[in-house]
Amino acid sequence: MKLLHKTALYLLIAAFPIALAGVFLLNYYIHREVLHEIDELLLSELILVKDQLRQHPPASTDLHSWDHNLQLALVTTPVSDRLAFRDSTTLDFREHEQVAVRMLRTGYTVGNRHFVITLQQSYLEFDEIASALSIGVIVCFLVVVALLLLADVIVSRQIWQPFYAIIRQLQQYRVDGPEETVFPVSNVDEFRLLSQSLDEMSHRTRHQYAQQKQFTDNASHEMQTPLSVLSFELDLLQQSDHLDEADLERIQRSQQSIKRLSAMNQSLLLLAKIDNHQFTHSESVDIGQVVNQVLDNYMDYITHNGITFNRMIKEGVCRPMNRQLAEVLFANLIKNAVRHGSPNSSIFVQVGLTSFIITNEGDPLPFPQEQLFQRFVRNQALPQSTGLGLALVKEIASQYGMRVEYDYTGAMRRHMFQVDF
Amino acid sequence: MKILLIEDEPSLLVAMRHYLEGEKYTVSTANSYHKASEKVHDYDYDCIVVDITLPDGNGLSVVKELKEAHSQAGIIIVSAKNSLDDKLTGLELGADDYLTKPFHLPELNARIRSLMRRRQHEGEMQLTFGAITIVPARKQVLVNHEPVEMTVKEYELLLFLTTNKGRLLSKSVIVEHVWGDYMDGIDSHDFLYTHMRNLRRKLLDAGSPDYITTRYGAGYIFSETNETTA
Repeated sequence: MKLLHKTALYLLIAAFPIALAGVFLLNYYIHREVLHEIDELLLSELILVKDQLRQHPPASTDLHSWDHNLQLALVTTPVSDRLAFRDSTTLDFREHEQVAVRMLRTGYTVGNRHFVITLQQSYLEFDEIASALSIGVIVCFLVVVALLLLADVIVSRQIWQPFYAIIRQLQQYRVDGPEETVFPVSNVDEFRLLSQSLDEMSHRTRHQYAQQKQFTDNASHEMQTPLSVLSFELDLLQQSDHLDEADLERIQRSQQSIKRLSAMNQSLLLLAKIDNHQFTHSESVDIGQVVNQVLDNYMDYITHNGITFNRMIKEGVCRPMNRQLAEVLFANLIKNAVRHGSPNSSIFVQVGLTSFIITNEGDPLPFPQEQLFQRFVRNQALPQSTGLGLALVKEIASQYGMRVEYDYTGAMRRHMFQVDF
Repeated sequence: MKILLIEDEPSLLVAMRHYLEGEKYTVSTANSYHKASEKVHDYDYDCIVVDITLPDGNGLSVVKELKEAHSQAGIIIVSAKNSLDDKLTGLELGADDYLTKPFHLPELNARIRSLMRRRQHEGEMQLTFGAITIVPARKQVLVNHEPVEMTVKEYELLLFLTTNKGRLLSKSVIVEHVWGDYMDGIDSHDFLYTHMRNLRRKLLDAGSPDYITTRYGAGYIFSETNETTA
């Protein structure tokens, strides 16, 4: 729900109880005013009646009223001239129903004659006017509120325009985009501030990202170049005719160390790049296809070792991933199984709709299971291992919100890796 | 065959030059973008090996310039970054191949040879080494003019050995060339030995002398002049 609509809704919800309370308050207030007016009316009438009585005192027989709103009665003892107002009902002659009236009763003495004066005034019209008025006012109030809200919605839509423009810009924001994102400028202070802050933030982030990227690139270059020099020199040295077998073996071992150092460097850089979210390009990757390709690459090798692949691979299961990372993820798990699989056993590989499973036969882990995915934890029996392959697997999987699980069944002597994607 | 090496690291330049001159190429070098740019404008080369990272520019710009000048030279990009982006950009710009540092000199030689074969309309080309003839276009091997059945990998093994003939090739270099990066960190000694044994047996059975010498602890050498009888 939009902020705009939510505000409008809450205002409407608040307006109803206010209106309801308003009806009662207004009604009460008008009622009080009307009462006051009626009382004044009765009092002024009383003065007239008293004048009449004083100037033309009527005979006792002549006391029936001239007017049904006025009743005069002769009494023998004097009645207090206290003004007694009260509400009552009387039968309306025209409509033959009980109507509310206001009554004023008081005593009056002219000479030695004592009168009781009772005056009454029907509320009739006043009451109806009061109700009509209060309802009318409240309806007006509600209409005004509704109109104001409508105006507010229209105005707000206009005012929030820059805000939405900023949001649209943010949605398109890429830290590695070719151009610096410029957030729209608004003449509203708050939005201008927001725009400025975002501009600064994006500038800073881009700068940091570029620096980090440059660092990893440079580190790669700076490390790989001396390694290349070493490797080339050994390539040339190896061609010499004056070397004996031991010398050649030393060269081989040096070459292997260079290779391992280089692989480690590449893996660490890859880990750093993943940490920095430098792999922003993603495409729909067919996991079954990737897995099949990697497996095919190992066919010669496993055949030589008497290992068989038992494939249950569903092609066409696609996930949005960076292709390079997807290949590293599955290739590392497969290489792991190929490298550690016992000769003359089988490696089971399954790609289903939501998971990848690979199992291989082999000895239990030489280190605690919790350390399996940690960096530089490796089987010392394999000198060529960098101890980074499974760390990369874990890192890539978590980058894409995938879960990697490991299990070992002692009875079957089987390692099992599962990736839920 | 004229080759231009563009690389800013002097020791790399010297080593590459040394190895490639041993392969009978005419090698020129340039250690900066500026010099490289001058050389590619002034001379024609058959193959250019260019490092992407140069002190005064990007090696990819050299590729761009070559393509704009409709150069016929084959281009191999060398980079210290194992970056898919650079690779794709380079290949899109018209480079023919991509090598990631560190690589081995026999591998560089094999890439150059392969590129040159593709450039020179390999259809008619036959590579002869003593009794062995290789027809790259058909991926076929003839011994004494008779075809020998080989697997793809055996063919690639033989081609790599003959490309670097007379050179001692270590096992890991051979495995990496034929089977690729996947075999990194996998113990492949027995594995390569088996494939090599099969290849040698096929050649010997077809009547070829044994041109392949094993150097224990090191690797293999292919040489027509260094015949040994098995």
